[in-house]
Amino acid sequence: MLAGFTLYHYGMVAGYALLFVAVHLLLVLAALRYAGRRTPTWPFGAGAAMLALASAALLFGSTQRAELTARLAQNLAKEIPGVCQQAQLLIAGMGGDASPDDEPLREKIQQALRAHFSQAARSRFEDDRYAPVSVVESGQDPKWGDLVIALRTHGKGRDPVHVGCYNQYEHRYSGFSGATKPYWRWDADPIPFENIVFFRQDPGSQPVVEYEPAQP
Amino acid sequence: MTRKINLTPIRWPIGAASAAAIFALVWLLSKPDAQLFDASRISVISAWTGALAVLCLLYIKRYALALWLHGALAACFWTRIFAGADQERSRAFGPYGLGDQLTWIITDDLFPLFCIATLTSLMLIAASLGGARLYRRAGKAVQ
Repeated sequence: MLAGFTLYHYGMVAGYALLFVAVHLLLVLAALRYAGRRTPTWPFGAGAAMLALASAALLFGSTQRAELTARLAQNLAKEIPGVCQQAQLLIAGMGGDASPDDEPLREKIQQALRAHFSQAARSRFEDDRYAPVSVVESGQDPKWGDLVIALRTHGKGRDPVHVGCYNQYEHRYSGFSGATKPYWRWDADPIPFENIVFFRQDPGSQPVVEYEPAQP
Repeated sequence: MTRKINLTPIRWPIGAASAAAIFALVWLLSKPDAQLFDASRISVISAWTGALAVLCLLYIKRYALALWLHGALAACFWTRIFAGADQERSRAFGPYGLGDQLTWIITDDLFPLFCIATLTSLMLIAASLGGARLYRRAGKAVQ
């Protein structure tokens, strides 16, 4: 899902390098000619061709980037709810709803949930160095066990927006109250009564958190 | 009395190979996966200016080799700046055009490095002009 961004970045840097070579070649040739050296004309042509090629590559890269981010947004809107649903099914399949007081079973389900979240994060977002998304939490937080993905937007003073799954199963039964909430849960109140809740922060106005029940 | 400049020419494969080696070395040393100013700003700036100073000494020792390495160094500086800026760009949603990127390079954090890179390029052009003149004079002296 994110490999396209890495490719995009390398391609852009290669385009810039070509632009650099073309501009310097042309400048040196022009300077030599200005200084009165006789230079053949074909290097000028070669330099101009490189310049045109590099500019075309950079412009093409810019349009590609818009497409990449649009496709990524679509994929995220499709896949993250899917991950939450799978987690919900996992709980139901292991019988988690039936026995909230069964301590060893709950422990087992929590382990399975965390493994599911970290597996989902690893398989989808491993390659996030040059991408606008990054994994904030993949179920590894010992108290909350949420899956949280941050989406960055360009601009000063813009905080990343988060999507992901609130792990209410673990939270609800852990008898955990009054603890400091992690920041991605600050404005999330009240959270629907589900085991796994898909949430999406609104990029326009930060405090709004949308929920969609993760029902199959 | 100025020091004598060594004008012995070198064959182009040697020049190209050493330029490529310097390019790769600088990129490896500059932690390509890190943001430019993850290291402190002073250290990056002083490393770049230090490389330029060493290059000036090399011009006296062996002019032709120094020209090759100067080109490699200028390529390093410019691509490193652009790579840093493009990494910033690729890590965000939303509209962020080439113009925004250039503004960010020229007026923002990267401004000192942009100045050093511009200086390097101007020096490269001056050095190749000067080299053309020196070699012509040397050729005439031999004849």
